[in-house]
Amino acid sequence: MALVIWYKQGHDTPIYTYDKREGATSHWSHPATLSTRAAFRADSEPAVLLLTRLRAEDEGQYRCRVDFIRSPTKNTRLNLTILIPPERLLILDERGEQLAGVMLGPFDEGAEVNLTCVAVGGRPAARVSWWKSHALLANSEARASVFLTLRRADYDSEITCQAVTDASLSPVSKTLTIKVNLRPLWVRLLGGKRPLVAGRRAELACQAVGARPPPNISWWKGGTKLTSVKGNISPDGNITSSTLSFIPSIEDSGRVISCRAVQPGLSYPVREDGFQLEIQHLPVVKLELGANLDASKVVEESDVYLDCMVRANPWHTHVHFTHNGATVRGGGGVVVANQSLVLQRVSRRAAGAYVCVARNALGEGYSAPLVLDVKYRPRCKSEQAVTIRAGRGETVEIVCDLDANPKGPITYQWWFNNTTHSKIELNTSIAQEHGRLGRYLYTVNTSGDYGAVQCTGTNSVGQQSDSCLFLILPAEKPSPVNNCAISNITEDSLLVTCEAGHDGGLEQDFSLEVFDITTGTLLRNMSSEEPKFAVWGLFGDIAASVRAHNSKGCSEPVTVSVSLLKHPQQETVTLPVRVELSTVLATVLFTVAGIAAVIVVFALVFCWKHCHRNNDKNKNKLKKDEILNTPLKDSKECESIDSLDKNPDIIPIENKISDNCSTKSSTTDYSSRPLLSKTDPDTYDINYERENLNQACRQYIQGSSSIQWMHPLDFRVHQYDSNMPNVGPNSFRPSNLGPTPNVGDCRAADKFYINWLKYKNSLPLNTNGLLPMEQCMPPELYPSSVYGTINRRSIISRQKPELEPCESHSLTEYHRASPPVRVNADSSVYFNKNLLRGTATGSGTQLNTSLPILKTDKGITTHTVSSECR
Amino acid sequence: MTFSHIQEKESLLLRIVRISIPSHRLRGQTVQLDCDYELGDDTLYSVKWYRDNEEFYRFMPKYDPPKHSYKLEGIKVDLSKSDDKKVVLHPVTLKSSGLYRCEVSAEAPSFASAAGESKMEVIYLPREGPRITGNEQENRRGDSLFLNCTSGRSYPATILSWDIDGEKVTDPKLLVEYPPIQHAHGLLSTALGLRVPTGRTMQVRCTARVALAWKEGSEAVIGNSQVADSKEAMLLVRSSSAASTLSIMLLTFSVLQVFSSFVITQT
Repeated sequence: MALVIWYKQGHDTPIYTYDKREGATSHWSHPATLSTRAAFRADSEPAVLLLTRLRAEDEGQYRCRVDFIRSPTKNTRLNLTILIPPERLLILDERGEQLAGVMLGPFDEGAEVNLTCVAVGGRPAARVSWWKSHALLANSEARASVFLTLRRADYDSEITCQAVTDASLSPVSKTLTIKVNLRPLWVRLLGGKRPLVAGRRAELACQAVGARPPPNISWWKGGTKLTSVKGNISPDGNITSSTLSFIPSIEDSGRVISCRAVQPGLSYPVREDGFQLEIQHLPVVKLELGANLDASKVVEESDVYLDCMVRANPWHTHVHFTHNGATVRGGGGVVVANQSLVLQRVSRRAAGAYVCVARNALGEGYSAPLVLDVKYRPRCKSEQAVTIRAGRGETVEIVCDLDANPKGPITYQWWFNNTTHSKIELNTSIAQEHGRLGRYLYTVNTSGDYGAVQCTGTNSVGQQSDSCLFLILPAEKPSPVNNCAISNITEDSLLVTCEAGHDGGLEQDFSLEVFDITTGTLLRNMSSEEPKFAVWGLFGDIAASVRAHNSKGCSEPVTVSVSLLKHPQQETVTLPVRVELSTVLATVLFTVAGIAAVIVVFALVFCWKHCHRNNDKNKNKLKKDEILNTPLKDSKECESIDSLDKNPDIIPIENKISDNCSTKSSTTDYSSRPLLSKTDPDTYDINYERENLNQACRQYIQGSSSIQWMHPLDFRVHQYDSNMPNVGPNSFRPSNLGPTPNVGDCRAADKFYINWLKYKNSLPLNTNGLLPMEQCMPPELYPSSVYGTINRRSIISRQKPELEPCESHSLTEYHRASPPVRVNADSSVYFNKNLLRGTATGSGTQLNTSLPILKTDKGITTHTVSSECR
Repeated sequence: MTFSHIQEKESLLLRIVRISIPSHRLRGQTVQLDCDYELGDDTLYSVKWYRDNEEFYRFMPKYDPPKHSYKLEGIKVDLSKSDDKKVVLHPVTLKSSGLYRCEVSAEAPSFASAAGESKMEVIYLPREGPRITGNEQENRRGDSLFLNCTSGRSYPATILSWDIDGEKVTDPKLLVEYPPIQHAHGLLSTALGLRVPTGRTMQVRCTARVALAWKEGSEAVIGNSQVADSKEAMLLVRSSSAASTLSIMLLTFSVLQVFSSFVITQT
């Protein structure tokens, strides 16, 4: 081979030459046509002309001419076709507009789409085809059209246009993802229709399946959109769920609850599922007074009808009524018929709260309490006659305490009669003067004014049938105590116990004075509501004098003497001494007795004067109280001025608060009221009476400084005065009491009672056996005779000479000189024994032997000393 | 002036001015193939002659001898009478037919090339005219007459045609064609049948033509190589007395054949 020449059709000159004739090999390439893009390789088999960076114009017929030195020239022709893939593919819609992006749609289901794929550029013209998955939809040259009807199955499927220029070239393709809006296959409220319970949280779930894009699910109840909703879309987006949490109410019954799926921006109609709510609920109960009945005009003895209206789902099976919490049973004028309650000839006890109760499968429903107010004419609160003792010239306030409904206005009428007078009406203008209805100021001027006072009230219902009776009786001083005894004797303490005598028709209390027999010094002065005294801090031989007091004065003292036990080292000396009445001793005793008699006479004279003065003072005080309008409800206990007359025939009526309470509890149920311990009122009453009386009196005396006594704890903790030298467990009387300890207003009783209740309720009580508060009426509601009875129980009335009330002046002096007192945290009081002993040392048995002695087995002597008013 | 100007302008490039190749030649004749070219500014590298793309002669001035022929079937180059612008073939045979091409190439560096080509066909004319033959029995029996015309041996194949009363028969229902018959030396003979409707007297003629007698255009180019070889046989057909008519017709055919032979001998 000598020469190779490449020709291309259409060119006059060769495009490439390879010349090997001269030995050296030379290549030549046509600069404009091939330039450096061509290289002839003679060493390959066959030899090739390599064209790089092909251009479209490289296409054409090429001829290779090979000249040999000897052999004939060889000419080879070949056609070079340049393949050019399309520049791009255009996707056109049916309007000929180009689609941008790789998304087709979104279209609605059923939409018809016409797409044309055009291959732009390229050589030769490409074969254009449409493919969906592996299915050939269309195939033609340069451009291909396809017609699609979009179905649910087409969602997110891909459609591909492919342009193939030559098998040797990779095809050009364009893929579109078909976006189809899918309406939900179904929207379903899961679980379907079912009854819901009012007030109980219900969760309803709703699902929209097969919708694209995911719909918004909203919940509707009637026309109201509900908001407590939680939504959720399954990971594949196929299921959109929504859970509604709501508390159905009775009013929802019959409303339609529905979940609504809306695909935003789509024209599809709303898809909805729901049901009509059936709401189950506890019976809704309404209790009404029967038609034609006026709730404000229900009077005793009239007939009352109560109608119960029940709405329930499921239907109620049982209806009953309660009255103040207790189930109402038929009989005795009470008829429970169907859903009505008939009360025939109602009594006042029929008043109270009525509730109708209906039961269905879900439980019981209660009506609002219907409070039946039964009006009745006035009636006396106290069934027994009330005894009032008064001295001549004394004015007492008589309270006509009535139970009535309505409580006002009540008009009162007062009468008086006794054995000599027939019944005469009292002038009520006296009562009206004070602006206080139901109270009458009755003045005993003559003995003819003693007798029976009656009052009768009239309210809007009618006039009281049985009038209230008050017996006006003369008052007297108490009798001396009986059967005094000393017990529990130690080296420095003893217990004095007596039996109370007749109280003279008034409340009485007791005082004890302890003397050193040897010196005659007053060692201790204390008072108590019972004739029982425990005394500490004594030694040696002592005499104890007990007296009873009431507002009329004090009784004669009863004195006992005793020798306390010796201290262990002195025991031999202090053995009980049996005193034998020798003649010598007898003379001495008589002498002493004579002296004593003289002293007693003097003392009586002195005492009489003194007490008279005190009596005047007390009178003044009472008048002042009346001006102050202090309520004097418990006039029995508190009246300080009494007639000097006495009526031993009148014995206070025995009654007990506890009985009263228990009686009430048996007839009336107060279970809907605050509870109190059933067991406590008795205890309370005793404490209360004691405490209250003193404190009330103190309040009265001290004016307004009573606040400290209002504290509920005061009822439990004994009050001791630091100056008080000797305090026994039964002594509740503070030392700073005024000279008239029993005088006072008992207004504070209410407050104490209330405070006590508060205190009581605040205690961690055992609630077993509790009774409602109403079982124990407030003190003012109790008949005044009850109070009197309690404070004066087991008293034998005795006639005693009238004495002025006594008070010791030396008492206050003694207090000033009293020995130091240690007060411990537990409020016990101890006295310095040595100090006390020091004052009494050496005056041991002197007095003891000089007094008439009643021997006891313990060597205690008791002797009665004539009245010792100092 | 204008012509010389064009010459000047075109003298820059090598070009073929004219090639002369006869389209037809009778077997045994001598043929001269001319290739006239202008080199322009280039020097000659080669002149190559191809028949059907196969080189059979070249003239390369740098080679010694510059003339060289290659052996091809049917090609016999007379080197003495050939040079850089012509080649003489003597004699030509039927296998000398083909596409003859002359390619002139300039020397490096341009190696500009120009080529011209043309077809030449070598033919052989028949020695005798066409003969008309007929089947008498069949002709008497039917209402039509069937005649066959057979050519003498030729190359390429003789093309036959029938005339009835001077009108060329083109209706394919009346003509029956037969495949050519191969003879020695590549010669061919052909035949063509004719159905003649009877019932009247008519003159039928069979004409034989060979090769490119109709290629008027090429005759003009080829010039001296024009061949108009046409021989005819005539027959008179009568329906009344078939036998006598046939004899007269055969006579006519003979007369014509004699005349035809005379003409051929003269040329």
